[in-house]
Amino acid sequence: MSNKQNCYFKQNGIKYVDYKDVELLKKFTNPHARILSKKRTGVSTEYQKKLALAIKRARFMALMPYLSR
Amino acid sequence: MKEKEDNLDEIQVYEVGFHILPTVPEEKVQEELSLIEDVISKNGGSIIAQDFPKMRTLAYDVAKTVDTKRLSFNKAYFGWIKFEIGKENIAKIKNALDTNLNILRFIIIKTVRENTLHIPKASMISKNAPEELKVSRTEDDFEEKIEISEEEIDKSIDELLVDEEVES
Repeated sequence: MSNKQNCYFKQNGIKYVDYKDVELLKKFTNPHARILSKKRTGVSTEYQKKLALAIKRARFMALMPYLSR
Repeated sequence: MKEKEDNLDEIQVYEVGFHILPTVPEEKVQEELSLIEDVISKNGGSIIAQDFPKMRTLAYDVAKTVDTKRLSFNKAYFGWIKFEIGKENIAKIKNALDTNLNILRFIIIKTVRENTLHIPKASMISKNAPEELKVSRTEDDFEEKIEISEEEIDKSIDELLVDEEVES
């Protein structure tokens, strides 16, 4: 097993997860618009929390769907 | 036990994101925007950054009661304003936006002064991307990072040293 850092946000130096950045957030949802688990995406716990909050904000603002298909 | 007492005098950076009703004609959007800006500045806030409201389709229909009629909208002008204000005044902003009839929905979040939008690497932006997009991604107060190789730094230091030697 490698100890390589897999977190997308840490690798790309993204400090804050913005709810307006829909294109970025979409990468972490499945076709049903559910949030992907960090097990699947490799996002660190720290950023998974921020990501989930950002996605929920985007959903409230109708920038992202709550559910689709 | 109350360890953290809310210090109401503290200044906090907030961001308000809002949808303006699509029934507002395009030329009146500026007026609506300045109404929101006025609310912020009247309550002692100062605007840090903003994005002009643009029409966009919503991910789902949003309902709002207008004159006792329940209407649903599938598009709206979405804009945001980042500002700083004393913590005691943020409730006033919320109340003012609540009573604004032309706002479909809004959100107030705590944020930071720096630009929080992710700037894609140059290679990720295609060359024929609209100019507008590029500008909106690079605006605000994020620090420009200029990449300088070590060689160049060494060279410039050497140059400085040479200059000093010449002077002495």
